[in-house]
Amino acid sequence: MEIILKNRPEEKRKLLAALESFVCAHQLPPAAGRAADLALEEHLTNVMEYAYDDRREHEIRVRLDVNGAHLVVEVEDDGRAFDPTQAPEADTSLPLDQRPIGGLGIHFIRRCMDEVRYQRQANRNVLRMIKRLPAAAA
Amino acid sequence: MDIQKNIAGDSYELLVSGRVDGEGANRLDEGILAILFNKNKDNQQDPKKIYVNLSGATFLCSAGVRALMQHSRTMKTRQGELLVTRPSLEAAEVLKMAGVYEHLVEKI
Repeated sequence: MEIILKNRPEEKRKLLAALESFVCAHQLPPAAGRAADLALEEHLTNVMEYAYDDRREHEIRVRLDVNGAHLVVEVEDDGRAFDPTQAPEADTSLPLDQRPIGGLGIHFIRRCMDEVRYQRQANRNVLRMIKRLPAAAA
Repeated sequence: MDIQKNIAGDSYELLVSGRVDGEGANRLDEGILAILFNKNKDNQQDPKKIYVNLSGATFLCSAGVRALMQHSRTMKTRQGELLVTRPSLEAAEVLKMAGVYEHLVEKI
């Protein structure tokens, strides 16, 4: 399934509806659906807020697929090059008053998905996020 | 997302239901700011405790966690406290992932 979004936050609602249908159609476990929902929210927020240097409308392509025992979520945007896999790890062991306020979004993507890969292809960012599915759901 | 506010003296409770996504996090932030800085409205007292009840939260993103962390710090500087109460499964998972569950969730 491919969903094409404009770079506007309200477009995420359209994606949520598509994700819910996809999870239902493929009878995926709720935990896998929650993980994809969170990873997409965090990544798309970063893309929409930080990837573009202009105010023009851009297309962001989201692809959902079940490939064997994996849920594959891919996001492709034409924003400036940014590799989230190279972002520093958030230190969640620090006391609350010493913690930086930002940086949790990428931490959530790493924690809720099993594999995250980035590629820069033809001036586009492609982030592939993979969630392993329990045997019964595959 | 909906937020309902209950006030008892200097204790405030925000009952949050629905998705605390980017847009929901902004509304949560505004709801807490209204308690912190609009104290004269409706003869409200200075808040000593703010309880954010997340039992009805079906989703929580990093922007929501950030709002909770930020205002928890503000309340500490005022010798007060902001606590999360009864987080749903979805909210609890995210608070644990962020490493703030032990710090923010009310111990019963």
